[in-house]
Amino acid sequence: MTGDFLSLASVVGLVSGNLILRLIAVAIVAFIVVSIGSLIEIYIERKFWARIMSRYGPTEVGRYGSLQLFADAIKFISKEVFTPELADRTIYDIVPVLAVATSFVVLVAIPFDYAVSSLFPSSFHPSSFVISNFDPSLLVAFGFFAMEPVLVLFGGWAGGSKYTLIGGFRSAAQLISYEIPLVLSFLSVVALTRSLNLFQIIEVQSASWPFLILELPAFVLFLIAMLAELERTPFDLTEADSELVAGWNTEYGGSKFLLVYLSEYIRAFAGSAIITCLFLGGWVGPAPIPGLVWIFAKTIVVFTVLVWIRAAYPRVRIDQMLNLGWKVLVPSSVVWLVLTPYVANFAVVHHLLTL
Amino acid sequence: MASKPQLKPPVAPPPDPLQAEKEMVRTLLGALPNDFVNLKPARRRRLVGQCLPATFLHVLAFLRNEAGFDHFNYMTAVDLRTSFDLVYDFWSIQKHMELLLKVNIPHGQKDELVPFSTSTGVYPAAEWFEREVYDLFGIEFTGHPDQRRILLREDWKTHPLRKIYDRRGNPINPALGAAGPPALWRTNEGKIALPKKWLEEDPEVSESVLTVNFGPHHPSTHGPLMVRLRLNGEMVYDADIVMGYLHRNHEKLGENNTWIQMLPYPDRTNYVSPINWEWAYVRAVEELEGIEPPQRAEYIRVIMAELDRIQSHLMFLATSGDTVGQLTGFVWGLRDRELILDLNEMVAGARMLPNYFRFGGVNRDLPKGFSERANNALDLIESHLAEFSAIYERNPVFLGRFKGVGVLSPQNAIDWGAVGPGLRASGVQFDVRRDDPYSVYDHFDFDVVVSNDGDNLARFMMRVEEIKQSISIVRQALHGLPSGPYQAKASVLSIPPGESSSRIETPRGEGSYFLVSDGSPRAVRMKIKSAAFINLYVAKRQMVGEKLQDALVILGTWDPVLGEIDR
Repeated sequence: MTGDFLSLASVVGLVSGNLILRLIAVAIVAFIVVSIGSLIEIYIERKFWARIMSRYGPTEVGRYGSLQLFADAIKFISKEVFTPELADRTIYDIVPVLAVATSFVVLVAIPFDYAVSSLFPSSFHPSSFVISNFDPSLLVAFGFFAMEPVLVLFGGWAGGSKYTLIGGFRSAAQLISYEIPLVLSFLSVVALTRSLNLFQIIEVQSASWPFLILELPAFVLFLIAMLAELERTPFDLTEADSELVAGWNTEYGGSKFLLVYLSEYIRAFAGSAIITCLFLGGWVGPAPIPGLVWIFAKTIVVFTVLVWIRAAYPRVRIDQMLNLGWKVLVPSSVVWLVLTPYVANFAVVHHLLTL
Repeated sequence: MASKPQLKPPVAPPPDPLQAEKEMVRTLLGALPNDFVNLKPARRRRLVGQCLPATFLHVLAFLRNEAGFDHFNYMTAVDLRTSFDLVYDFWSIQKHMELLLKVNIPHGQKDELVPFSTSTGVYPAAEWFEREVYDLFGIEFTGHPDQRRILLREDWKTHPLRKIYDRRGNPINPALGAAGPPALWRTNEGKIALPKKWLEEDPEVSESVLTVNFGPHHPSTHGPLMVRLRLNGEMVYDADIVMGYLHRNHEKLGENNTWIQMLPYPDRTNYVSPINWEWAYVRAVEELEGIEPPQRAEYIRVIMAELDRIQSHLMFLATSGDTVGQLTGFVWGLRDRELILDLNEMVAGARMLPNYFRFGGVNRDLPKGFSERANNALDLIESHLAEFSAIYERNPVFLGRFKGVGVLSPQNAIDWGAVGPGLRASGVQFDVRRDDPYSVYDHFDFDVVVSNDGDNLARFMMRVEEIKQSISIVRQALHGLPSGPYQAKASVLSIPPGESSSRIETPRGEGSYFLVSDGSPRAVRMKIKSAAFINLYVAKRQMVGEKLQDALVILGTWDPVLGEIDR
């Protein structure tokens, strides 16, 4: 260090040397990326959806309504914090916080930090920096993803209302039955790359084609299961506004609702990012653009597709949803998993894939 | 060569227009010679008569089982100060004939319950009508399965449509009636009573079901309506409907306002299809006065009423998207409805509640450039219907929710009294515009769309097809619009004494006004037969045994409008 001046390189050196500082740095990076991501997502959701509906969406606050989300956040925060009389106070209060926390943790597994370090290509070797480069990163991501149904069930139960209770039960049924096809469909990618490490999976794709092409059936199955896992239309039965008002989060208001709402969009962001990493090649892109921009842009595009689906489809019924999960998605993903070695063989023979 | 003037063949006497009606009278009198008093045809396709209270049930059973009067239109009562006239109205779907039957029963001086036998055993559709008469008139139907108040609160002590009460529900002579509205009438406490069936239920059953209240403030009840569902898991075990949150007692208002003062009220009866309801009221008064509007006025009325049907059905397309979480269709429906509301504004000056029709004509002539603008709007709506089909009937998820769900058999549809597109979706051919034509509907070429499926999708498609038919009718009417006056001479205050009832095919089915006049400037009785009211009853019957999510979709396919249901 020279005097009071902290050079970028020295900061990087300090941080990469200390594990705790490294973790904090990753948390800050993830927080910034996700905050910006969620804001962009909500803005896209409102604006893009509005255009499909031939509305304008937000226009008044800020240019093109860009500050509307901040106005909304201020409104939520400044509202009264209340607890319904029949609610189970402790659980009721803790569920929104845990929902946001577990949604954030999912992002640990996604190699945003590598993508960030790609902005400073000469400063250090990326593998010395990344925290996401650990072997079972995909498993960790889905482990935290799978905590949501428990929270939703608790939140629905603790709300003390019949709407929230029905919403919570539906959510439990839905998420449990869609975990299995979700895992089965990404297993074929795992079988192809022989790794549960998202970092590794992207590396393999960077040497060949994105798995969207090689693993198209798995992509479709994974997308459908992910839609259900994110509780978005057409699988938003837990918040079926036409019968359950707002489903399991009916009784949340003010800042608690803000947390619930935020956790949904963080999950949506994480889900889109996982799709990007598994099937769309993560930070890899054809043009010489920094990896962070690539992974970010791809994630937003995937999310936009989710919005598109939401605008085009109504909600399915609970039995139709379970039928789709158990009778279509599970068998098809098993069949595709069995076929995967043949696909891999074909791809290697024809130099589509280097393992 | 000059031809000899030939002898004209003898002119056959013109066929009696009331022949079928007279034949029906003869049949009825032949079978039941002692039960009818003064049974006669009132006009084409309508018989009016009276029968005796003692053998009333016997007559009902005969009418339904032998004479073919299978459709129960409505029932109501008229307070004649010393006695009640119970009015029953039936329609024969096969024979295209209406029968208005009256029964006179005495009532005492004070506000006490008057017993009469229930007709729910013969016509299940009478259930809610009898509850309404019990509520507003205090006639107790012995043997009724579920005798509760329906429009008023359960703790309301009086029967406000009796003549001993004024328009605010207070007794005119305090010695005669009980005190008026309950003091706490603004709170929900004491409003609701449970159905008798639920109270008498086996406690073991009631422990295993979850009663969930939907409404009165709920996104998918289409207004302040409360649906109480008893759920067994996701299945609806039983349903009950609490209405009356929008009850303003239009019928009492009709007795306290002059005829012309009542004109804006039909708009408020059904705020989604105001013009058809204006027409129902105006036609009933015109029938009392015996006037015919000029041709141009009739054409203008047809144009406005069909535009009104289009916008009401577009509202249905919108809300049926909303019931399954398809909000894009919701906004599209509202967007296209705006086009028609703009036309309303152009013609009448108001968008939603135009108050356009007058006795004997319309308020003003169609403005310059209307025809062009209407044609443009119709072209646009027609092209948008293709877009609607992409997100609705060609969408697999939507089909999954609508196709084969909530099937209503034709027999049940008739028994439960369904009217309008819902009835036609079950394969029953009944459209007032064709079967009992009013105004100039016989000048136009249109189809009555019928489906045989009876499911949600059929009820949905019925509206889509009717929009197409209505567009065609409006185009024909705009093309053949005659010139001439748009308003006939009609008196607005001195309406001759008598009775009349109009029948209009509103977007939700047959709606009618039953008016009794004694020559004074105010009606003696003004009954509004609401189509949405009886359709809601059908929806309630249909919900039982369905899944929770389907139950609310079924409710949506009957297109309830709470202004019309609660009146």
